[in-house]
Parts: sequence; C-alpha cells; structure tokens
Amino acid sequence: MNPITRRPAIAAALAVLWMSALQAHHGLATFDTTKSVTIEGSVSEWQWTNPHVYLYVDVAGAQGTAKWRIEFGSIGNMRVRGFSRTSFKIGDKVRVTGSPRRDGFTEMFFRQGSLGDGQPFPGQQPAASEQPSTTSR
Amino acid sequence: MSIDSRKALVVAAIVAFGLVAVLPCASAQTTARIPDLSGVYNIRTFRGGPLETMAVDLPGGKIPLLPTEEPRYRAFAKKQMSNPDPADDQSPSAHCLPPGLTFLMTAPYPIEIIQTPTKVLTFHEFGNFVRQIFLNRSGHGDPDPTWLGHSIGHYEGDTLVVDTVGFNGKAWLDLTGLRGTDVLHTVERFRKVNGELEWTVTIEDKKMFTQPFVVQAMYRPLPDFDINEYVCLENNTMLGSPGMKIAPAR
Repeated sequence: MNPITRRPAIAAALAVLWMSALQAHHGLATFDTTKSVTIEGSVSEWQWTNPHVYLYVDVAGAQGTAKWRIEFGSIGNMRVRGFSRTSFKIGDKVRVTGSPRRDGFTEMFFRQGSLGDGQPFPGQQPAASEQPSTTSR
Repeated sequence: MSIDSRKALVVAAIVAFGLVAVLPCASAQTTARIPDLSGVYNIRTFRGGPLETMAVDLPGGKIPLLPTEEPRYRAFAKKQMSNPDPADDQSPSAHCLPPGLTFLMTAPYPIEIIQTPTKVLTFHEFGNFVRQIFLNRSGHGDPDPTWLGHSIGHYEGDTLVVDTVGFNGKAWLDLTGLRGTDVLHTVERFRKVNGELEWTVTIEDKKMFTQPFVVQAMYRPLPDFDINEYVCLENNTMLGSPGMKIAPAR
C-alpha cells in the first residue's frame, strides 16, 4: 500500500468516494441509507476483492447463528481508509453498524465498526453514544 | 590577415549569426508547448452519478431527450434508481462490461492521464479501463464500433480537445440508464484550472437528443497516488460471483 495515501489531503480528496462507492457501478437502492442496523459477532471471512470488499460475520441469536455480509467499497476505497488485506482474522470479535439491505437479507453497507476491545476500525473516530438495534434471522 | 581571409571570416560570421537567429524560430514552429495534464485525479464534483446533475445550462434543467425517448428514459431511470433487487440491475457495468464514456469519466474512482508524443491515455481505477486518444490524426477513418468509441485529439493552447465517434450504442452514459446510440458524438476539453483538472464534454446524438448539451466536472489532483488493480469479475456478488475460485499455485 502506498503510505502516501494516508496523508490527510489525499484522504480528504478521496472522502467523496466512500458513500459514492454504493452508487459507483450499480444501483443505489439495494441498501436503505435512511435506516441503521448494528450487529455484534465474530468474523468468519474477510474478502479483500473488487468490485467490493466483504466482511462476513456470524451473529449468535435466539434462533441460531445468522451469517451477515457487510459490503464495503472497492480495494482502492478501502486502502485510502486505512484497511488492508490483513485487517481482520477469522474469529475476531466485531461490532458493525451500517445501512441494511431493503429486501431483508442479512446484509448491510458499512458505516462504522469496532473490534471487541473497543478499538474503532481504521479511518474512523470512535462512535459517540450508540443505540444498538441488533437483528438476527 | 589578408583581405580575402577577413572577407571569408565576415561571411562566415554572417552565416553563423543568421543560423543562430533562424534555428530557434524554426524549432518553435515545429515544437509547440504541450500543456502538462499528466497525473492522477479524483472527481470533486460527483453528485450521485446522474449526468443531469453535472450538466451545464440545461433548458428547464433537463437533458433534452427526443419526445419519443423521454417517457421511456424517465420510467427506466426511476425503476433503476429505486429497485432494491440487485439481480434486476441491468447496467452493463454492474456486470463488469464497460461503462459509457461519460459514466467512466465521472465515476468516483481515480483516473490517471498519461501523455506521450503520439497518444494520451486515460487509465481508470474503475474497472482498470483505458481510453486511447490518438493525437494529431487527420480523421477517424472507419473505426469498428466499440464501447468507448474512437478518440482523436489535439492541443489548442492549454487545452486537449478530443473528438470521439464510433460508439457501439451499448454502453450507458450514466448509472440511470441514459443511453447513447451508434451516432453518438462527443467533444471533450481537458485543461488545468488553478491546479485542478477541468473536463467539459459536449454530447450530441440525433437519435436520442433534440440538441447537443454540455456536462462538466472538476477533478482534484492526487500526487504520488498509484491506481489500484481492479478485476471486476473476481468477486461480483451481483452475478453470483462468476469469477473462478482459483487457489494460488502453492
């Protein structure tokens, strides 16, 4: 990764890419950006790929374990944010908030997240107060 | 020194002076100053993607579609932008085919401009597509129809002017489904304004629009930025991830 991309000016110049990654090559409407969902679970897979990077999280619930897929931007978007192919290991505990998929699948577009010890994901400020609204299917 | 020798010296001096006086002018005529547009840039004026949001001086604020095209386009765009099922997304670029010229140029991914004496390349992080702009050609000839068309360019002062025809009519001009046909013709102007890249394109297509219209975007420079590899098919979940799961050799 080019460390130059961590410079604040570059990050600011590319900041517009973050949410626009949703709109970049396919339709806008898959995720409801007016809503928010938060899950807690353990990482089962980290796919460092294009056109989207994906984090798979197993979320334990009353009805068993639900498999959530969290969609991020492209590898290029993610590098600017400070993520890398080694950002997560299988079994890492995570708490993730995002825009849920409209049709009810256990999928969201990433907004913010933190590790089990409270450390925020790269490129973010720690979340202020959060209202957890965990759903599982 | 003899008189003949002095005369010879004077003549030689005159000839030498004349050459010195003439040669720089001759080289200036054959080597015009080429504006430096090279570098990596990122769009600053992205407004969600629809070309209509980036158009300049549109009558009534709307792209001037033919009356026969307007209702079809508006209904399609509304469905495209509101349909929650990604499997219904028909955009070619969601299926890893090339976006149209204007869609590619305004996508929110870095673009690198590479200038050589015979062509300018625009190298896009989005899909790793590359446009070739052939410099100082006398015309387009009879190009095979392609997704991004056949581009020829020349410099006018500080501006690169690019003329493109030869589109196959399959690519979308933006993510709403705005289309160009096989008679699409674009004229782009690239120039630096206060360190940023200004891109202006005039879009003309008699089978789709009542008149030409203009779209403009501004791009911030990204110094020392490397365009990333982008293999669209490696994990496209909208297509059920058709990329083969290939394990490393060892």
